[in-house]
Amino acid sequence: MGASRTEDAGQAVLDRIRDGLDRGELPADALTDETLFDLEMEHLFEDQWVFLAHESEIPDPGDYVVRSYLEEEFIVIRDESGTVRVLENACCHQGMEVCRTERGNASHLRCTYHGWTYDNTGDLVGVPFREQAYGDDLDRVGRQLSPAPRQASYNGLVFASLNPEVEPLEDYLGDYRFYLDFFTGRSPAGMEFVGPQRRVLDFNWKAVMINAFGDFYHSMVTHRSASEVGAVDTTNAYGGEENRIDPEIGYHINAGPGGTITREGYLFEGAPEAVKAGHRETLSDEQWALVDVAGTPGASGILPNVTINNSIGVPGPEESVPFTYARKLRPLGPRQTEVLTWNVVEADAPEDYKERTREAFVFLFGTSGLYTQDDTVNWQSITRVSGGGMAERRQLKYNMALEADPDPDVVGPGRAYPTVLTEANPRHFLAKYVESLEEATP
Amino acid sequence: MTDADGVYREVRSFLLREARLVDDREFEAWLDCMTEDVTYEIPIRTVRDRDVDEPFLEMGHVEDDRYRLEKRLERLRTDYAWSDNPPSRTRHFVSNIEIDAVHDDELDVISYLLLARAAGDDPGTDLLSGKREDVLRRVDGDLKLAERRLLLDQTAIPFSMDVFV
Repeated sequence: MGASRTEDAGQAVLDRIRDGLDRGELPADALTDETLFDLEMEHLFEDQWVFLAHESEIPDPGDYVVRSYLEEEFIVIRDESGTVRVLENACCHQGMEVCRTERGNASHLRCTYHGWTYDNTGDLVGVPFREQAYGDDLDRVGRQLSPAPRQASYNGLVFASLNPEVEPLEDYLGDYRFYLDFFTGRSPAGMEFVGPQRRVLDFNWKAVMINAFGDFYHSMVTHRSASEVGAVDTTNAYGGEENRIDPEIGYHINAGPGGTITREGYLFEGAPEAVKAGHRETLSDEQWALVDVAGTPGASGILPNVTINNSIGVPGPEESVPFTYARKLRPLGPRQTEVLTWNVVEADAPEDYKERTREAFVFLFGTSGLYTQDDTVNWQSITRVSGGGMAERRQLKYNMALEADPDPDVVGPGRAYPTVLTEANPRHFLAKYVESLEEATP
Repeated sequence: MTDADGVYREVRSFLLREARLVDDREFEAWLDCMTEDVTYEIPIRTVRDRDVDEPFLEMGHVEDDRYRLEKRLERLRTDYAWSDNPPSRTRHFVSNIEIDAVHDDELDVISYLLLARAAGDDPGTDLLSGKREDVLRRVDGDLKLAERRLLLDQTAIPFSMDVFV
């Protein structure tokens, strides 16, 4: 049977991936194999929590954005009572999209095929010729836009899952919430997601995740041009004549479905006083203790489809501007991924600071960013040559500091490795990735 | 020939030369086409209802000023600008040039851009199209670009935007 052969072939690749875990190795064809990709989509993306939007993108009743999950689309909409709902973008009658725009405001959504109309809770409230056509029997065709089987939010991040049995989002994020708060839970007014930029690029989604989970080692080479011209503030990162990283500058920390690299000190010193006061008010004593010991979480990823980063840009002469940005990945195939990228800023920050963080972000990351340009070369190049028989035999190495133990004295959950010269976080990504696939495919 | 014809020819020459300088990678000469206070932006288009006046988001794919443009060029001069080595090949087709308004020392100029980009050994060509809303200013007798807004037709960008528009 074709279907089971495909499943078996995917399992065979997964077996080889599992075999390499303890050595910190990944067979290169894991980035391109079609059968593995099908397993990932079915058992990782469909079964787990997938990030779709941030509540700040739809502040008012009726505001909506349409976001793709895998092949399906969801409308993330705020109803008249202020509740955020995640509804399938398909009419319950004959399946036409009820939203053909990517964002807007609507009290009602009307299918332009036969005119079936829904309110912004998703309830079907209008059917032409209802009495004559269906009498009282509308159950035959449904009564609402299907809500996502599961929906939940954390720090305003809206997640959905196609798996009704999925564990609660808070449990899924688990220990990683402690670190995620440094990006999306650090202001009493909440955070604001600005954007997103949208790109479709030729790379495997895991190449991005592995890099985002934890690779500080590449910065001094991949990003040398951007740092050499002073586009980014590399204090507490790397620098000097050879642009070398200081191994002691931060930690690899992994917990739950996430990984982050900290950078020594408090990265937001350059923010306005009111913004910093909000951080002091919002983050816990234990979280501040992390800043003292290990620094501030920077480059980060959350399995399966979020990357988020705190950084410091230099958008103007002698001007260091701390900023945060987030990405949502949507795999379109093993070799192609849609990427949405937002600037993330404290909702109550002064307008000029919001603008400056946006400019710093756009300059460095996203569509035209100096950092992203060079990262994209890596992700595309690795994906490009990771197909075929040689790739099946070639192992990608994530085995730096394989034997090193975590530092037990660092506050915060998970494991903290007291150096950036390790590949502990990529190994954590691969372990969680395999674990997630195996839970679903015993 | 009227004065207006002369100005139009001057504007067209300016835009065509500027396009050629980018495609020929004469980036320093290209930057000389800009004023000191130039703004250079590609806002993000979204798929919106046709009654919505502004389909572009507050944030852009590019939001540069003179400082950041200079930094981009400075980066290209380093030995480590990997995304530009080997470089992609671009062709800027500039057409439908209209002078929309004439102010004291500035002209509002509209043009269409078809940007073709080839990279690596891919036989395909990435295409972006859009309308440019420029402000050209006369500085010491010469036209300079003071503002550029490229209003793309595409909502998603199919490559890393390592090129100028």
